[in-house]
Amino acid sequence: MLSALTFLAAADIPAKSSSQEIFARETYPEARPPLRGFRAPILDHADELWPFNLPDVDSTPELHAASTIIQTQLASDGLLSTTAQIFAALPSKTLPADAAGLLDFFKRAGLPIDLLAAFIPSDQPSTSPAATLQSIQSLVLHDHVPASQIASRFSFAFQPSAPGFAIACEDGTSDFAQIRLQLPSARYWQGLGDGGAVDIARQLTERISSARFLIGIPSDQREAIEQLLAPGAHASKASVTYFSSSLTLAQWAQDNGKPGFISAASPKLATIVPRYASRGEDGATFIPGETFIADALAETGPTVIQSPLLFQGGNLLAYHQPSTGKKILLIGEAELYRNIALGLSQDQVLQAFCSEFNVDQCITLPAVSFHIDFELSIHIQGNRMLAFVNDQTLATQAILSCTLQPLVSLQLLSNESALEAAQAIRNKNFESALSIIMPPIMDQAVSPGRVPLSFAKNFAVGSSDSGVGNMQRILLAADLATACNVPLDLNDIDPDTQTYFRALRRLQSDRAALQHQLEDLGFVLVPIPSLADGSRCLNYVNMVQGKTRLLLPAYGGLFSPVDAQVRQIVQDKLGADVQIVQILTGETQRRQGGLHCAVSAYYEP
Amino acid sequence: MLTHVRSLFVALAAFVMVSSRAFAALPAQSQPQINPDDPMQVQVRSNLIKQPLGDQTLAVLDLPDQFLSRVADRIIRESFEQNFRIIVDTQPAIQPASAPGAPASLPSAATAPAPASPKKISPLFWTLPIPPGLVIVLMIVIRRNRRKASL
Repeated sequence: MLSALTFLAAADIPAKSSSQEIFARETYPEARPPLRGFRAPILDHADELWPFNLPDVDSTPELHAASTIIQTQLASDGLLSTTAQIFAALPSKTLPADAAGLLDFFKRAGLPIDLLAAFIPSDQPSTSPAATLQSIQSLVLHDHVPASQIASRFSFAFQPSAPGFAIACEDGTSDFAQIRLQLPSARYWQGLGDGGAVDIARQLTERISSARFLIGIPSDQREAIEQLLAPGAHASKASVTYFSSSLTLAQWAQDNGKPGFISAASPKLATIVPRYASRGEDGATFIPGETFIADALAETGPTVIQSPLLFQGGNLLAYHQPSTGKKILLIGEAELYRNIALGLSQDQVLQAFCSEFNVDQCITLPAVSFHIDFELSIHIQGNRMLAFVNDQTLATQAILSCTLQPLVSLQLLSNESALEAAQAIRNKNFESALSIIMPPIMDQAVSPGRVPLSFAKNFAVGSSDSGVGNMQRILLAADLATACNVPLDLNDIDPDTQTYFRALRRLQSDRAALQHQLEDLGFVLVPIPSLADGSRCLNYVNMVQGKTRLLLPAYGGLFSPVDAQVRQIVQDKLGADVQIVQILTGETQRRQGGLHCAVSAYYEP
Repeated sequence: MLTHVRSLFVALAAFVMVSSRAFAALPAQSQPQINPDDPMQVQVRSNLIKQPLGDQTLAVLDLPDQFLSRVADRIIRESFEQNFRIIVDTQPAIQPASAPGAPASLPSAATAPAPASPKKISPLFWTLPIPPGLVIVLMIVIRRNRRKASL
């Protein structure tokens, strides 16, 4: 059966008048919004214009003053106290007298006024942003309540953006219904099997043909991408629907929206997207392309909902706790701070996430990696709660083992030495192993730590493998072993390497603490030979869980033996009822991502 | 291939001299086996919160020290690796007797011109000393989502 290919062009993005605050969509910068309250005008809120920049020189002194208070106090003092401080600081006659004007003033000053609706005055059953604003004004100006005590006059009750929406659990209890991807361009980085964005799409549409695919693409790449993934170009039988944007798109479909359901007589697939799509962990950098693609996605079928909260999808993982029946949402700590910056307290953020994603409890995890999906993947089987986690020592052993054959082939290592090194690796005697493996590599170095490209190329296996990427992983494994497994007095080495090794040791310690936390939550840890270190990762826990099929990242090339080792570990743990589908992701991993980062899976209700 | 970084704060001296007073001011870390007084991490953390946000800085976000430390460590690791664990494009160093596989195409951004400094191997088998006087350029990386340079 031929693929059902359809193409939905994104609605032309309306150019909005350019003024002090409002950008045309095409001209929004990729930046941290100077105004904290900025909310992207998309979906049902497309007509709500939220200013992006600070008040300009023509704005009133009051607006400037309010903006400064919001910038400096919102994260530390919270939404209510900050608002009260503005009322206390500005003469009331300088503020708009009507509710709509007042609301607009605060919006232009940078207050996330939409979140005011979550704060209900103690004497009222419900509220609106305007009503909460007026209540604060009255408490400050008439009742003379200090700003620091304003919060006690309100209760917090965050209302979900779409009642009935529930986040999908990524815990292996359901099968795939749809898969959303994004392709930045219409080309393989190195060729078939390179594990880049196009190659992942090719593999998935070939091998998960029962799922429907939604693929976001750049408008100007439409024909080329259709040709690459069209029936005949490969063995795909999948149903593919394309949607497009004229703005730059990244590969990371996971991060700009989270799949779920809207409960109804027959549950409907839905996607919830953040206040605006962002990147970065030190604050939130607005990404226009990743944000505005939501409008085109909505045209493809699934309901798309915009949340007033900020989040990056790779930092959220939901699962069912079998012993209690509760639905739990794990949240990477960066998401907490991103929303504290909007004026919510830590408890309020967690309450808001529980309500918005319809879960019973939210648990925060430390940012050991950039996102938590680089540190764990969950699979629930009956009453067993499995957490696949990175095991740095296993990974170091696996990578160093893969280094031996090329060295022997290059006649830089004798067979006897290689056997001796292999034995040392198995025994975790890294000092001995490194003393055999590293001198022949570093003999090639043109200066300390700098390996010639001509030499690194010898560590590629196959035309789509990367000798550069592989050598970087070998160097990292050697560094990790030296820093964390070899008794070494750091005072004996140069200050820069000391600093680096200390950072590696702290990473290992943080990871151990995270894994203890998971055990305390009732998870049985499944150690995987897997590393998470930015663009030098060899990561396998960034997997996509399904009930009968699990999508497992593979790296290919030199590290194919590690792929096979991980597959065996996962298969042994899950049993024969779960089909392991390995997806090559080498180039994606060399770009600081992985399979789960690139795949947004919708599950059967 | 790998890099799409912007240097916001550059040229921090590698051998940061930190006063005893600065050491005393460091917050305790959660890893008891590790010396908490890491001047470079303190410096990077400090630079992180100096980044602009509106007409203020990230300091107004009140990010906890432990979180900032984890972010700073990512920057330290990446910066070190990009400066001292790199693949350089130079003359062939060896003619393989039998290569284990076909060479990959060159991801040009991951390579850099070879420096002129002579080869120097450390007695610590491979933990190589940085040439004295070399300045680490510690970059505050605009982390375009961990997943950067995707295009």
